[in-house]
Amino acid sequence: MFRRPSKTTVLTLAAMVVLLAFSVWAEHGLDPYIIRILNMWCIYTILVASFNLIYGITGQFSLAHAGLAAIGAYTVSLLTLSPEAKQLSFLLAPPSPLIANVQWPLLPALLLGGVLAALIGFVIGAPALRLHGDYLLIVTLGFSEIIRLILVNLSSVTNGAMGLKGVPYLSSLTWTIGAAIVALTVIRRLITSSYGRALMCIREDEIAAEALGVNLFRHKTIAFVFSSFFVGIAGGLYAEILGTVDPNTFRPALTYAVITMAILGGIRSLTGGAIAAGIYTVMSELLRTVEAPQMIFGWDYPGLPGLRQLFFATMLLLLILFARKGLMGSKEFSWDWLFSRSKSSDSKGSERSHEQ
Amino acid sequence: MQTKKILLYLLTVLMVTALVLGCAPQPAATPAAEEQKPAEEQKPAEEVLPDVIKIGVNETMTGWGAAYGDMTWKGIQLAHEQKPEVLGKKIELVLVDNKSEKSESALAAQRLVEVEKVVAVIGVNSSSMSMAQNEVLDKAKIPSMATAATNPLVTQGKPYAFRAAFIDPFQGEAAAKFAVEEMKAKTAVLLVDIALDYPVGLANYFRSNFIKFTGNEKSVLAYLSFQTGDRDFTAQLTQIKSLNPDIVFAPNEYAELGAILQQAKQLGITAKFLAGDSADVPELVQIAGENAEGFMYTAQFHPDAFTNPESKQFVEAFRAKYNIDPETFSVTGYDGYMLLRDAIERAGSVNGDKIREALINTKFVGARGLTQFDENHNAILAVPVIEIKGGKKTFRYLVEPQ
Amino acid sequence: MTTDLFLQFLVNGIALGALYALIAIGYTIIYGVVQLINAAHGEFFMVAAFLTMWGVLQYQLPWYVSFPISMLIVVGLGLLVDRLAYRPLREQKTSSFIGAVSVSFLLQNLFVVLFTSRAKPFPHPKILDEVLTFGNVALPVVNIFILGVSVILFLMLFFLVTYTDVGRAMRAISKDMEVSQLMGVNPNKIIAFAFILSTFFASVGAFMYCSKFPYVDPFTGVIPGLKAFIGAVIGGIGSIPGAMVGGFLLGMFEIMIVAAFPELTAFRDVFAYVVLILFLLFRPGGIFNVRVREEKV
Repeated sequence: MFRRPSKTTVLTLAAMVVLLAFSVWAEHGLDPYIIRILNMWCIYTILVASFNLIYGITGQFSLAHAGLAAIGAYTVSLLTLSPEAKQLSFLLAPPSPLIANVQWPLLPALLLGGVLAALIGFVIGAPALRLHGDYLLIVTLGFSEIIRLILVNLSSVTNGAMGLKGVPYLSSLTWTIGAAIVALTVIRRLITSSYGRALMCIREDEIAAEALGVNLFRHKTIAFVFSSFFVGIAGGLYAEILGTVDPNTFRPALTYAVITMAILGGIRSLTGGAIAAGIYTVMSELLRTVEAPQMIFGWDYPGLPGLRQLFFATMLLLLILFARKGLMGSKEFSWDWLFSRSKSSDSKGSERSHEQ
Repeated sequence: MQTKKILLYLLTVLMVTALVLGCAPQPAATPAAEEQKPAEEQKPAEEVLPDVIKIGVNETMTGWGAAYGDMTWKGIQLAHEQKPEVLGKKIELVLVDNKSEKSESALAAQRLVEVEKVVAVIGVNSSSMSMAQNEVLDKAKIPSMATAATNPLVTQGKPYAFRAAFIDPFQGEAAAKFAVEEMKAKTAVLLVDIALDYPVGLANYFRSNFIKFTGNEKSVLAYLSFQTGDRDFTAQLTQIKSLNPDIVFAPNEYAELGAILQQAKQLGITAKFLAGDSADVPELVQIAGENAEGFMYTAQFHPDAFTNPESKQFVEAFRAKYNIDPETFSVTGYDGYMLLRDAIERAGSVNGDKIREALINTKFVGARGLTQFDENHNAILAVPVIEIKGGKKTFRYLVEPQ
Repeated sequence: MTTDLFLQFLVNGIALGALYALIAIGYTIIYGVVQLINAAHGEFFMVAAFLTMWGVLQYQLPWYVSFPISMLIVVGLGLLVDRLAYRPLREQKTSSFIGAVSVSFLLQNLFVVLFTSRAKPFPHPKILDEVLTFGNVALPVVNIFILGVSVILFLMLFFLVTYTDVGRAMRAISKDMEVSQLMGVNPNKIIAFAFILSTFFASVGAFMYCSKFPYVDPFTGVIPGLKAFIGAVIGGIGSIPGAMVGGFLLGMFEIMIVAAFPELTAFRDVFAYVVLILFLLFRPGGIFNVRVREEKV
């Protein structure tokens, strides 16, 4: 028989339904500009959540995000572009017969993107996760760049450095919100399971974990593979939203942007990650105003391009120096916390949030 | 804990400020509301013009294209200064920086349309970024006027996209024609930055035309490549030295070109170098120094190339305002603004479709003489060829359009 | 390939190798002393070049005045960054790396905001533009200059590290920080000295790099910084001879691989990364087999 679902589960499911309903309405009810921002928010949420899984929970500082996202992005682009569009786009070399005539719908393309990224994640992770600290960092960065450089140079498959244009917009806000919900749910389930506890054990003390019987290789690799899968999905959606892909988008700078968001939100908190992704996306757009020339109280401000990036770099530095735990630290959102806050003003006693 | 609270607070304040600044109600919001409706909807019998007509400018103000964006913006600003009004209303320019990135370009275009509610967009000088932007603008039925972007795909199949420059098929043909007929070149080698649309496209057009004009299929001896950001070209240049062509066609960005010219001279290469309009930047000669002597390239403009009075007036005004000579990028910015403004004037409206119709029928005398658009909305213009003599840009030759 | 061609490539390979070695030393000195990958090293390099250029362009200073001033500023900058951004994070490996990355982006974008991204010409002594020709081989004077200065600096560094007190202290700290402190070494002073050395090498490297490839923009430090870093790791991060050899080999390799296989120009960087990864997986100590530290993240 079914267990009666707990209040939390019902509430969470209701929230998901509300979000999805909102997305269906929003697709036609909101400005395309706002929709684009919301889409990016969801994509970044997935990227940050994956990073939280591999670093915040398992303690492996991997810089491979950009490369893995590239795999997802290119897979989806190549599979969803029509053969005619491919013929038009490929300027450096005629498209390779492998991809020239295929055209898939979005869902299988996206899934394949995630799977391929997961596969590559395995190829990277299996050898690399034996290393620690700086060495792991360097190896993963190296792999990320290798992926990008290979994509730059396989002109018949990827159109080289010129990238692919006209990727059809087959997805919608529902897709991105849906994907974000799925990613967050799966990762959260993973974290709260005994697997997740083993991962946290690995993060704290590998030797002790091993002594307790945790298979280091298996656990680390599985975490990495899961993480990579979602990064691939996020990359695929990114290609969808942007409509064009090129290797330059997937430089280490993208990984650092994800890290910025992760630190901002709190590397162990998925909620924090989602919030930080939103802050980053929205701020990125709002800060455009400081880059553009305008009249401020009668003074002709000429505009300072580059200020946005400077802001984020400074923010990251300040965060890492003074507020390393980020916004949420290790806390997650919980319904109890929400209700207890609204019940009484001195809610300190009744605050209950998961620490992890 | 305290610090975190403070940071959170600061962040919120910043966000709110930016929100207020960014989404402040536009002064022309109320009367203009009807203006922004898509073309299908019924318009009131008399169109009410907004108090201020906003024109967006999407340019590469930072990143590798910063030099080009900056010069284009200078041209646009001069034009705006000379003709700040249309249909009796003030024109307001809204500049956005796309950081020389395609994704940013599309986002910037979207912002211009959705938030700033511009009636048209000028930009981008880069083909890659123009293409990204025009996808967005065409869908929104907002006319776009690309500046120095020369790849045909920028306007192809896009009814609302126009361009204030000639396109690469013609530039490649002009360069090849000049190479074969004036430089008497029989063999050539291509040295191309394959990381960018523009060099690849232009090199292809040059190649096919060079072969056509020399009548010799083997006249292009080799296609050598590199990536943006590379600084050492010894490998490619030593190959060129051993192939010993008459000319090297290297339509790349100016920083790499400067290094290429310098290293070529160091290696003792005697072949002449020819490039495209991306070389038309003062920094090129500064970087290459004496090694630029004899270097030639096709461009959109040279102060001596066009003889009509509008051209002279433009050159003088530009010199007076900025203390430097105008060139390719500033002229496309200037003409771009003027052409758009002229079309709005003739359309008598800020409606996208009407502006578009007016643009198609353009017969405007700008800084480069009589300017009209062909069936793909590309400007039909002559191509000046510039040579570096004594460290200065000298006008060498004008290739007329068919 | 003819001998002439080969010699030509060799000449350029040696020059680029020497440049990367100079920059790699900067990384390795810092890593040796504090186990920090100074991701902002490339930016110190850029700032030195940029300020030199700016001094000449804006204030019409002669290069031999602008450059020493820029070098002093960069050294000061390095000390400041260490004091403000690195020292507070001394104990946490990953956080200090993230801190270094943020400093790197900060400097890049600060210069974009202040000076725009336009590549500007780099002022250098005219004599460096001269080219000596030996038969068919062109030897730019700047290459001779690079080689000469590099060798002198390497020798000086060798003497410094081997025979001076400061050098010994640096080596002691890199072996064991705690014991060195017990022996009376003041870690902060030595670390500061390490930064001075590191930024000094970065500045000289910057001057010579931009004399050879005469233009600067805020992102000039990214690629040489990355390549030199790869070289330092391959040589054995933390080992000074490792950095020299690794950096040099990488520079040579970059030129010679294209010389030998022109079709593979595109894959040149991929090879470098593959070699890097192979080393890290099978011989993380690098060529000089530095002792690998098993630290926690």
